[in-house]
Amino acid sequence: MDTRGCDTIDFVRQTLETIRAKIGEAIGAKQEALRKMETLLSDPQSSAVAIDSAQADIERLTAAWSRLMHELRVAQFELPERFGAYRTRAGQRPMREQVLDILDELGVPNSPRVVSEYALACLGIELPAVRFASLRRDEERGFRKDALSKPAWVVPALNMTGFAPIPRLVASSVWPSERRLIGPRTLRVNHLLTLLALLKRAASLTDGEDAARGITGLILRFARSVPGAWAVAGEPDLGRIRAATEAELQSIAPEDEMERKEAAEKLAKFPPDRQIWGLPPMVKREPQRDYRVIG
Amino acid sequence: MNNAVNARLARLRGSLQADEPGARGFERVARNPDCTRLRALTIAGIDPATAAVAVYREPAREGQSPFALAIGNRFDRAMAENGAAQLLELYRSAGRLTTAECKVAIIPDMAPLGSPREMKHVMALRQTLSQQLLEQKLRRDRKAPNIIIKPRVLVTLLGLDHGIEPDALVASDSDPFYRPVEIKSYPDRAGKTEPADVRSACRQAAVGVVALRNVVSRMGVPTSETLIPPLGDLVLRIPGALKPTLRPMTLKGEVDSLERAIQEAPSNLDELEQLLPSGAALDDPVILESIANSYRASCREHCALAQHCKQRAVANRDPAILGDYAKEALAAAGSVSRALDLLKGTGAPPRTPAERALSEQLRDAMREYREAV
Repeated sequence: MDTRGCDTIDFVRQTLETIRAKIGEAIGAKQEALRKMETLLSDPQSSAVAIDSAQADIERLTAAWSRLMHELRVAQFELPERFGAYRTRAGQRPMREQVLDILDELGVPNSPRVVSEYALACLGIELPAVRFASLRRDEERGFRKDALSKPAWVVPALNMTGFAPIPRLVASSVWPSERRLIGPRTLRVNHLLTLLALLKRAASLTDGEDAARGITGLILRFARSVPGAWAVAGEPDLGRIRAATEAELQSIAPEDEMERKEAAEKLAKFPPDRQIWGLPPMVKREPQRDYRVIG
Repeated sequence: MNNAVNARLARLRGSLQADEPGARGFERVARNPDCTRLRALTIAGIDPATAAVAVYREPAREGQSPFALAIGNRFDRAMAENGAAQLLELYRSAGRLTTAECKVAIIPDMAPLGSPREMKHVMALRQTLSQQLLEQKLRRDRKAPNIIIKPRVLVTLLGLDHGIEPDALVASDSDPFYRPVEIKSYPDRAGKTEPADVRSACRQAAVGVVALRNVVSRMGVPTSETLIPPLGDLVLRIPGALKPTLRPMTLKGEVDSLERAIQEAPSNLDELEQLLPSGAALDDPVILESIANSYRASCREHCALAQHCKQRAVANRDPAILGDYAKEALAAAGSVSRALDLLKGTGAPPRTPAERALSEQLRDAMREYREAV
């Protein structure tokens, strides 16, 4: 099964837990070092070398603790709750970074509408879908000017046939190209992978949180089209939805992945900027009428 | 279509902007094939609503309310979003597609509309992409999509090439070709669904059938009618929800009537130009009024000029204002006042055998009515 999905938030949470555990260990070690120093000072037989050594241990442990506290602050800064706080202080975190973070969470190319709904439901931030077209243009302009000025770019997904960009599906430039390619089955596969990402996110939230309610609404909408996700009666069961989604994914994802990998090998023969932004679409020149389209 | 044809069309339109007729435009012609004025406007690429406002200076009383339009747009969007998930589910539930048949192509996502300046390029791109997918299916390529949302196909109707965008095309892997799908936000009330709505949707789906036959004929398929039978799917809405229902329909009558209507004169640009005085343009109300119309009670369901034509019919005492049956039955008289003269024996005596027959018919009917009442 396709195991795409770079869970930035899960990663941050795991990092926080690790740092807290290390701080706990550092406190224990420092308390031990302080007790040792106390014992040495109360003993008139203690040598000056032993006292100096104990003092050095205390200083080393204090420095380690201080470093861990700094790491903790940095890790906390990356938590999504912090993104929410930025809403009231507009301009501090650019839209492009928020979009890239959300794309990393969802793990697959998605429409601006889905990214926008996810941002509102899970993070409480507004990323209007109508702004994505200008964001994409800005990104391409920025990339052409200096491709190395940013670590990642918001880019369009690419059509597997002909590698033309699909402007209404956004992706991250750091993803491997097969993840940015869209084949005939990929829209469905990506729908299911997005649903799994939403389920994963929901599992990390506490019942009753605004985000939990918002994400449940999204999950139920996404799951509507998954065969076997709904019981005949009763409340929707997230476990059942996950099982049904994985079952459908197993039946269609391998072929899709194979097709995309084959296409990615062909794409790799093009220059790097073409691999990111795609090839201009080949238009068969049939004369068109000067019509405006009604409806 | 070459520049010379474009120039001739532009001359016919005068100061009016060109509107793409689309499936709805051709469906309109099929609903009233006797209306030469509507046919002329469609060939020239003028929407009746544009003619009502810009030529007759009348309000365009047509179509849906803003509320219905908003619901329609939301429903269309809901069907296409998330990789057409709802449509896939609909066809899977109906047993028309299997779980593995999940290949979807959404043409407007691949070539979204940008600025008006890019319109021609975007339309050409949509057409190219759609053509590639249709060719893929014709080759029996396993990668051919099972659902194509809003493909753009080029079709020759009324002597000119037009871009038509059916709401969707659907085919399982084993189907030889696609079937058109018409998505409408009308509430599906089974047998109680508004018949006029269903008829209109079926006629639009029939335009899709004719367009697909046209496309595969251009690709060199000699048996387009066998490959694309007169079948289409209506996707309607469950009342009170944005969930779809599926109604497979036989469209034989609609396809036949559409093909007949298209063959009526003027069936192309040459015939239309011959119909008009030299150098005349349809933005002139006198010229437009000089082209014969054919008012019917049902015109108000589809044509923005219905109100204008009705006012003229009332002023001319046209039997059409009494309904389609009266229009046909009193055709020999030509007007309601003449029919009354023939009934009462007032005015000039019957001038033709048809008038004489009508006069006798009307008097017999009146006698029977008096005896009965």
